[in-house]
Amino acid sequence: MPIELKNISYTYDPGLPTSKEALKSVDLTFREGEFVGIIGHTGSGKSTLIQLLNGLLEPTEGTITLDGEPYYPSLEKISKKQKKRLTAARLKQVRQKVGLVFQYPEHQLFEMTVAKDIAFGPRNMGLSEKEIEKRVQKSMEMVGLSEELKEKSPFELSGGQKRRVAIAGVLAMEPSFLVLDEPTAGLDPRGRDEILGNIKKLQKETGISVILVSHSMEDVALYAERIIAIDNGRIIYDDLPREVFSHAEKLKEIGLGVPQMTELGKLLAAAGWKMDETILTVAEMKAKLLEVLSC
Amino acid sequence: MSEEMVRSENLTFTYAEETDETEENPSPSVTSRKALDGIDLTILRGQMIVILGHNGSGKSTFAKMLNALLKPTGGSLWVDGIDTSDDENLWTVRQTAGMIFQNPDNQMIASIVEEDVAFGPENLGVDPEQIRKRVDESLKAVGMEEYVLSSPTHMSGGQKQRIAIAGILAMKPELIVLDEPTAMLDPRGRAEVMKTLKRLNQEEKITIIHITHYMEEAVMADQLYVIDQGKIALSGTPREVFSQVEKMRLLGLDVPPVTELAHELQEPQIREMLQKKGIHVPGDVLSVEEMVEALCRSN
Repeated sequence: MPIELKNISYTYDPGLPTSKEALKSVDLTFREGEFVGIIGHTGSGKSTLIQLLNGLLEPTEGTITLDGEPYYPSLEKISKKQKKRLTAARLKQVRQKVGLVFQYPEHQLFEMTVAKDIAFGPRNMGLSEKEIEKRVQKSMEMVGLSEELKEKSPFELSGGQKRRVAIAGVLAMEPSFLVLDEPTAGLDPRGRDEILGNIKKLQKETGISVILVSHSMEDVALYAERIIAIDNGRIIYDDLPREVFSHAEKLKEIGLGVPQMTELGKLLAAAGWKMDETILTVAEMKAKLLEVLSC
Repeated sequence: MSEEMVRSENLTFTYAEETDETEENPSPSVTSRKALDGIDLTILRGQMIVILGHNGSGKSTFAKMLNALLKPTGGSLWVDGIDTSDDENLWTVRQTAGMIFQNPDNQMIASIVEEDVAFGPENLGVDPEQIRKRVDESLKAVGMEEYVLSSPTHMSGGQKQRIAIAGILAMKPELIVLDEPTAMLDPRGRAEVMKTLKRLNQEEKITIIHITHYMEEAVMADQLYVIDQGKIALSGTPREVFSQVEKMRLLGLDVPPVTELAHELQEPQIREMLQKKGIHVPGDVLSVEEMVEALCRSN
C-alpha cells in the first residue's frame, strides 16, 4: 500500500508577490514497511512534503495517491460541492492511514488523563468503547509507557513521556505510515535513544512504515534504511544511507553534514588507510579498524 | 572588577507544587520538589562553560536563577559580585546576565531587525544615538549587519537566534546564559550559533554559559558541569568529563561518537593489536582530527 507522488509541486501564495515555490516536480514513492529518513535544512521543503503526505496541503500540481487511489478525486462531471464532499471523505481515510506526529507534539496534549488523550483519535473514528480501550493499551505498550500512567494527567509527565503519549495517540488510529517531524528535538540523549529505539522496534515487529524528518545525521544514519535529501524544493538524493553520506561535500554545501564516523573514515582514507566504503557508525568503524589492522 | 563572574554557595531551589482540586481529592495540597540541591561553583570571567544534564536534572532552573527569573530558596548566588536574592538588584542582574532560550520565534518582538535589537537598550533608557551605535555593533558581532532593515519572519532559525543574541549584546552584558539555543536548529544553524558564541567569548571576552544536549558542542567548553538530580555530578574539562564514558551513560547522557570509539579501542586485545603496529590511541580523544592524528602517527 504505497504512497506515490507524481510530479508534485507546491507553491505558497500563488499569484501573489510573496509567492514561493516550496516543492518543485517531486516524484517519490513511500513503500510499505520502510524506515525512511528525510534530511534538509530549514526551508528546504521537507515540512511542506510531510504536510502533503497527510493531506494537510493540496499540491498545486501533480497527483498523490495512497494504494493507487488519489487523495483528491478529479472526476470531471461532478459538481464542486460533490467534489468537496468526496475529497473530505477521502482525506479522512488518508489521515487514518498516514499518521503525522508534529514537532513538539506534547504541546497538543489536552485531555485530563493519558488514556483519554490517546483515545481521542480512535473515538473520532467511531470505534466501540471496547475497541478503543484495546487500542489505548496496545499503543501505550508500543511506545513503552507503563500501564500505571493511564489515569495520570499528561501534564504531570516528563518531556520524553509526554512525547510518547502524543505518538501513542497517533498509533492508536493504527496507521500504515507513521510520519514524525523531529521527534527528538529538545530531548536528552537517553530520551532520544529510547524513543527512536522504540520506533525502530515497532517498524520491525508490526511492519509499519516510518518516515522520520531529522536534523541529526547521526540519528538517520543509525535508524533509516533509506534517506531522502531535499534542497531548495528538489529531491537531490534518494538512496541507501551509505550512498547518500558518501557525498559529504555536497551535503555540507546545502547546510547539512555527515555523521562523525563518516568524516573520520574520509580523513583516514586520505591519510592512506584502507577505507574502501563509507562508514556510518562507531560499531562499523571499530570493525573496519580491526580488519585493517589484522592484515 | 572581580575575577569571579558567578559564585554559588549551597545553592538550593525548591518548587512548591499545588495539586489541583478534584473529586477524589477535594482539598488541594502543596508538595515541594527540590530542583537544585546544594550547588557550589565558581565561574571565572571570560570562561566558556557548558552545562549538561538530562531533562529534569535542574539545569534550566540554574539558568533561570542566573538571570534572577528565579530567586534562591536556600544558599546564595552572586553574579558579577551582585547578590541575586536581593530584589533591589533585579535589574542590575538582568542587565549583567542576558538570557537566550530555545525557541527563536518566541524571542522576536518587532517586525524589523533593528527594532528588535533596540528593544533592550530602549528599555534601559539608553540615549538614541548610543542605541543606534549599539544596534549596529551588536548586529555586526553576530554577523547579521546586512539584515538591519529586514523582517525576521522569513529568516532561518540560526539567523533568528543570532538576532536574539544581538538583542542581548545591545544591553552590554558581562555574561550570556543560553538554554538549549540550538535544539530547534538544522546543522548549519547550529554551526552559525556556535561560531558566534565562540567569537563573542574569545574576542569580546563575554562569559558564556551554554546548556545543551549536543555533546559535540560541549567539546569546545573550558569547563563542563554535569547536573543530575539537582547536584553537580561531574565537572572538569571536556577531556576529563567525556573520558568517563560509563559514568556519562549512567547519567542518561552521551559522549561524542569519536570519544566512544576511543573508549572501545581501549579493550585489552585491541590495545595489544594497536601496540604491535606502534599505535597508541588515548581514551580521551575529543575530535575527529585528534583521532586521525593518533591513528596515523606511526602508520
